[in-house]
Amino acid sequence: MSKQISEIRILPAFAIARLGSSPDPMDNYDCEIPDHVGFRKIIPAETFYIDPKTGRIIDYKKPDDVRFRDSKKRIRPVAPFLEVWVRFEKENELQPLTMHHLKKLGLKLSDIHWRVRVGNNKAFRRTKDLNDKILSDTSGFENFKRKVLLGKCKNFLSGKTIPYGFGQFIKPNLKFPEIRFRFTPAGGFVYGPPSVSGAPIKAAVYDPKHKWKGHMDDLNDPTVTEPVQIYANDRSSKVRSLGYLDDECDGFIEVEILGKTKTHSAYARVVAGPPTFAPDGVPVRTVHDDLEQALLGHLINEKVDPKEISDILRRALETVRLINTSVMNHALGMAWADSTQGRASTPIMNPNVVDNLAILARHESVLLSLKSGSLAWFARILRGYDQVGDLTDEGRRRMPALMRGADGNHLALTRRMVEKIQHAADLFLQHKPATKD
Amino acid sequence: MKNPATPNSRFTDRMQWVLPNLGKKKPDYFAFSSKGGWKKKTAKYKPLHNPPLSPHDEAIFFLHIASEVEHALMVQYLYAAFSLGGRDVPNDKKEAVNKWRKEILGIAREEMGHLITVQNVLHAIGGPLTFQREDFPFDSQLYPFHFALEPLTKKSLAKYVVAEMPSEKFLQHDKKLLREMQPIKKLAAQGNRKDNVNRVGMIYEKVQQLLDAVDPQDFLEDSLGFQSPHSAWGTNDTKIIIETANTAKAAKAALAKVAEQGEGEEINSGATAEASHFKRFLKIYKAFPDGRNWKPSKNVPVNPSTNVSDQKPGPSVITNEQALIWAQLSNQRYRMILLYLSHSLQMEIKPVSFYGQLVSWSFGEMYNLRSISDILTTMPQRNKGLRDNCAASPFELPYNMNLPSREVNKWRTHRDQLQNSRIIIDELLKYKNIAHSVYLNALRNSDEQTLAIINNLIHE
Repeated sequence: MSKQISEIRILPAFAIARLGSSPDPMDNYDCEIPDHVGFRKIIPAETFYIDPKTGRIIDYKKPDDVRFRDSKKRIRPVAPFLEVWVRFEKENELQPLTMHHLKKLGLKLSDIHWRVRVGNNKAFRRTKDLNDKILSDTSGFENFKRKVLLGKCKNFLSGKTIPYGFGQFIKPNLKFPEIRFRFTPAGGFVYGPPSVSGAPIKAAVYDPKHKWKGHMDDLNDPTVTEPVQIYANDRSSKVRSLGYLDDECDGFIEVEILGKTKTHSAYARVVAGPPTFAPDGVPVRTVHDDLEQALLGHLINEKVDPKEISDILRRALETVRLINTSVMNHALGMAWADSTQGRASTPIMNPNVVDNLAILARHESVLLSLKSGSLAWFARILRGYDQVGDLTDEGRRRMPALMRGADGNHLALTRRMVEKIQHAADLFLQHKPATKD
Repeated sequence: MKNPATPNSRFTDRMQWVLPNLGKKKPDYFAFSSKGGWKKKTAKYKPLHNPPLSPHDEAIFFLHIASEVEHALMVQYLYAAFSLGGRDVPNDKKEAVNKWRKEILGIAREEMGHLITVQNVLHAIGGPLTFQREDFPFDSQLYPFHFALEPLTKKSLAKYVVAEMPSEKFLQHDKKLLREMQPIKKLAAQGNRKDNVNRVGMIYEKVQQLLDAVDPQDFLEDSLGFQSPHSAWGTNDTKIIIETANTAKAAKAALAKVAEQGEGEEINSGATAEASHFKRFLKIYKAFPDGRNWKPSKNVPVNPSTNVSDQKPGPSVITNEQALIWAQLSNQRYRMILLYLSHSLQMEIKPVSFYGQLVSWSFGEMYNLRSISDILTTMPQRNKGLRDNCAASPFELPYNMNLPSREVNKWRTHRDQLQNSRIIIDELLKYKNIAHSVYLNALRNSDEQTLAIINNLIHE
C-alpha cells in the first residue's frame, strides 16, 4: 500500500501577479549584479509556455531576451504559477505532488478540484456599503480550461461585471508531472459609472445612484483607512469620488484532493497589482519585508547575513534612482504633506545638495563601504517606526527620506530591517572586513 | 621660551608667547631684546605673531592654527579608533572595546565638523582657507601635543584628555576633578616626550579675542553663500557642529560652540556634559586597561610610513608589498577627501552648482578611508621580523593641497586623483587571490562613474 497523504499545500503561499493587456504573459527573468555599485542586469530564465485552450505545457525554455511589452506595445502580464506540494505520512519534507503520486494513490487528475475567489473591496472600504463589494467566485472545477474570473457587484448596472483575469489548471505530462495552477490577472483597465464624460474607462459598470459615485471620506471618522482621499476625485475641496474602479484584485486559490478516505485541502493567496516600470530595481521596503517581520518578529536573534544588508542598501540606491529628489524636496510629496499638518512649508533637505546625482553618489558610497565591511553611519540615520510623524528638521531628514509610508506619514523601514542594519553595524564595528570576497 | 632662530615650523617660528594678565594696556609688540629675550608682556588683543600683524591678519593666522590642530586631532583620533579591536581582545571585553571605538570615531567626526566650522569663519572674514596639517609643530604653547599616529593606550588617552581639558580656572570649581587630573597630566607628559600637553581651548580663547578687534566691515554678509552649512552634510547628527557666521557675534558663537564641545566648560552637569570630548575621553581613560593583562589595541605602528626609499627602512615603514600598496591607496583617498572638501568650500553654493556632488564625494571618501583603514589593520606591516605587527593608514599628506585657480582646472585635479587611484587599484588587482577584490573592483567602477561626470565638466 502506498504512503498516504498527510497534508498538502499550495506554494508559494502568496503570489503577486501584475496587470497587463497582452495575451502573451511575461517570461521569467532573473537579475544579476555584475557590478557591486552598478545596475542590476535582467537576464532571461526558464519559462513555461502554455496552450491557453488546453492548459498543456507546450514548451519550456529560456527566451532569447526579456521583453515587457508585446509587438503591439501591450504590457505582458505577470501570471504566476502555483504548485501543489505534499507531505506523506511518516515523512518530514514537503515535495511537489505529481501525477505519479496520484496514480499510486489510485487517484485521477479529476480528483483535484480548484476554486478561485478574488475581489476588490476598495469602494466598500470607503463607503461601508456591503453592496459595493466586488467579488468573483469560480466555484469548484477540475478541468484544464481557462476559468474566467468575473467580478460581480450588487451596485453594478444590470448584467455588468469587471473581469479579473482567469485561472487555469495546468495539465501535467510525463516531462512535467507536477500539479500546477496559473493565475493570470486582468488587463489593467479602469471602469466606472456611465455619466463621466471623457473618462478613460473601459466600460460603464457602476450604477451612479449608489454611494461610491460622489463618495467623500469623512475625515472625522477614525475608521476611515489612512491615507484618506486616495481615489480619483473631482478635484474640488470636498474630494468627491468619481466612482472609478480598477481591475486589480486579491483573494484565494483553493485546492481540494478528493482522496479515497479523506479530502485534503489547501489555499494560497494571490494579488494582482500594477506592472513594474522599473523592473531592474526593487523598492526599499516591500511586502516581503513586512511579511518577514510578521512571520519572524522584529527582533533579530540570529546572525545577520551581510548579503541581506547589502540588499537593503542596494534597494535604497535603486529607489533613490527613481526619485526626482530636487522636486520632491519641496512643495510636493511629503514636503507638501508636512505643510498640511500645520508645519511651515520648508524643504526637507538642503536644496543645494539634493541634486539626484549627488544623492545617488552618496548612496553608492554607503553601498560601496559595506563591501569592505564598514557599515559606518548608516544605521544611525534611519527613521524608527515611531518617528514617522516627527516633523522636526532632523525627523524629516531621516532615512528613507522624501517617501510616504502606507499610513501617509514619512516612510520607515520595518523594525526588523532597522534591527538587521543595527546588528550588522555593531558587528562590523567589533571586527571589520566581513567580506573577504 | 623657544629661541626664534631655531628652525621650527611656519607657525611657531612666527610666534611669541606673551603671558596674559600683566595689566599693561598698550600693546608691546616689539618686546624682544638680545639680553632678555622676549618680554613677557600682554596687550588687549594678546597678539602673538612676531612681527605684529593687523588684527584681521592675525585672526586669520590663528584660525589657520586652529584648523591645523583640528585636522591633526581628527586623524590622530581616527588612527587611535582604527587601532582598537582585534583577535587579542578577550570576549568579555569586546563590547567595551567596541563602544570605545564607536565613541572615538564619533569624536573624530566632530573634529571634522570643527575643521569645517573654522573654514566657514575664515570665509566670514575673507581669509584664505586651509586644509594643511603640520605634523611636527609642537614647539609652541598652543599646539596640544606632538603629532603621533599611535595605537590607543592609557598614555595616549591621557594626552587626549588633557588636550580637551577645561581651563585651570574652571577646574578650580571642581577640586575632585582637579586632583584627578594631576596624575593624568603627568602621564600625558610622559607620552609627549616629557613635554606638558596644552589645552586646545587656548587657541579658541585667542581667536575669540582677536575677532573682537576685526573691523565689523570685514565680516562679509555674502560669504554665507560659500560657507558649508550643517544641513549640507545630511548626517542628521546634532553632535556634529558645523556652524556658519557672517558677523563677529556669530563667528564667536560658532567657535565658542566648537571649543565648548571639546571642553564642556559651560556645562556643569547632566547628560549634555557627557557630550564634551573631555568627559568622553576621561570616561574611556578611567575604564581603559594599563596594558599589563590585556591590550585593547592591535600592534599598529607609530607614525606609519610608506617611505621605503631607505635601504634600511625604519620600524614605522610598511614594507609588506600588498599592505604598502593599500597604504598608498589610503593616502590617495585621503588626498581626495581634502581636495573635494576644499573645492566645495571654494564654490558658491547653489542648486545648479556641483556643490552637492562635491559634498557627496567628500562624504563617500570618508567611507572609503574608513574601509581601507579597516582592511589595512588586517594585513601585516612587514614581511619579516615582527610578523604580528599590522599595517595601518598612514594619513600622509600629498606634496601640496592647492587647487588651481580656474574652475575647469580644479576638475582636472580631481580627474588626476581618480586616475592616480586607478593606477594603485590596478596594481593591487594584479595579485592573484587578493582579498577584497570585490571592493577594489567596485571602487574602481564607482570611480569610473565619477570620472565620466568630471570629464563632462572639463569638456563641456
